[in-house]
Amino acid sequence: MNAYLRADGRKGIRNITLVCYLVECAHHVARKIVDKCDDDSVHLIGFSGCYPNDYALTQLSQLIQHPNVGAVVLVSLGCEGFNREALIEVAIKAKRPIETIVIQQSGGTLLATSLGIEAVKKVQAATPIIKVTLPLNELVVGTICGGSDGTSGISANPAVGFCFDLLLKDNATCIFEETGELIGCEQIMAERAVTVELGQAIERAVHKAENYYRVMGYGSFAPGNAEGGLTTQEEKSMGAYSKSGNSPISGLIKPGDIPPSSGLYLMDVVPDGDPLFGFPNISDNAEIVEMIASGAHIILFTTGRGSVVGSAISPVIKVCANPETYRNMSGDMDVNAGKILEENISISTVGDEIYQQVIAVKNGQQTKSEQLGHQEFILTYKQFVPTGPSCLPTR
Amino acid sequence: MKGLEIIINEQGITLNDTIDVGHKIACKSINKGDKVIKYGVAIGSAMADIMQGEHVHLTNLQSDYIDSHTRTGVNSQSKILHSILGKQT
Repeated sequence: MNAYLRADGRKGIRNITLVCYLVECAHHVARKIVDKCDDDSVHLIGFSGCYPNDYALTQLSQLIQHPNVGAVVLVSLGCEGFNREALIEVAIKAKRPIETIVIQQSGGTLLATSLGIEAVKKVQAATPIIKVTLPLNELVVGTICGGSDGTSGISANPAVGFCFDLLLKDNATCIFEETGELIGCEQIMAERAVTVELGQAIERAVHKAENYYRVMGYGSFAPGNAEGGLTTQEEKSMGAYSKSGNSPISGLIKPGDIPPSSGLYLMDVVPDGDPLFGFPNISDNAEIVEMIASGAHIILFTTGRGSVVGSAISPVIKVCANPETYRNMSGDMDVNAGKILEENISISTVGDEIYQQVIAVKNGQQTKSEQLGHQEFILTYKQFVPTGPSCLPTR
Repeated sequence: MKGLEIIINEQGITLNDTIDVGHKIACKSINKGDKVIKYGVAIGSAMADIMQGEHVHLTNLQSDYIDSHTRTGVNSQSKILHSILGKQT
């Protein structure tokens, strides 16, 4: 029994205490609090903007009541636009111990920092520890690719797809994402949708992404992708798409939506309406945060060029596609999918290895990025309209 | 490896370039303007005639959706860098 039962009934695989800053002006104090706690289970998250934003409020609301989170300390400067009262209400409703430090009411940096450290100890002491088993049908796993190259789509990504199919047989919930990295796959994806209406919604979401990226002037394509052999957006997309496996697609969710039942979900991460706040996702961690906000306990991260990131709140399992990169950066990689290319090992064998890793990490084993202390986090401005009924399966 | 002889579709081909891991070569000749097929779907259109065995990449294949960018080439920030460094663009 390695999972943590929360008072709201959800089960987590880690017991994280969050220190969350509500504007960049409070970031330093929040970081000092986390540094001085010197405890790997105390993670720093936050939002830098002073202007309020419904999307950011939704993401932080879901993150502070994530099943991997036991307790929360908010750090406010005092005059920012973020609705901290709403966050406090969310935490109380989800029965997560919460304390709020307002720097302007605490006497400045030094006093706010020491009050913050005491607040962390107080909420940790108030967090009930009830150990239970987390069955696979309550597990939520997300996947992302970052630093893709020409090997990603033929080794690591289809191996993750194989793992997803195994997890879905166990009635787990799986999320794949980045409609901008699925440009060119919209028709084959729509054919996998459980209803015609969902298929149409998926095609609309990808067309929205294409339009959005065109306005931004750049596709979801980094120079390193080209150096690694990828030439076009649609080539990268087809490789990324294979992470989704072969199971039917049950729904199309937006960041922060909790999937209503088990199954495979596509996350539409591209904002609605006219492009307003810039690029949909400014880096890989922005997408990871969104899947965690939708309840992901674990993230499967495939990389060809070699990413090192982890995340706050949920462990990241890194699957390396490229055997040369694996040799170069094995200290950051949990699974070597490059052996599919060099050692004639099948995609299903590596897919099964990833599946076993998911179970081990669910049961408490630390990933490489956790061991190395990676706790990246980023949250920016976005706008969304609520998810339509045709996008979600009926219970 | 440049000069290496490989077999594609039962035909011997001598590579004109060294091909890095993850890069791709044409398994048959492709005419300019034709769709380039990988994973069974079009991944873009040929910008030039491509010979069998030739390296297929940014110089001869373009997206049908949105341009790819590199650090120094198309859609790159080299123009702004030139103005910062006071170079002629």
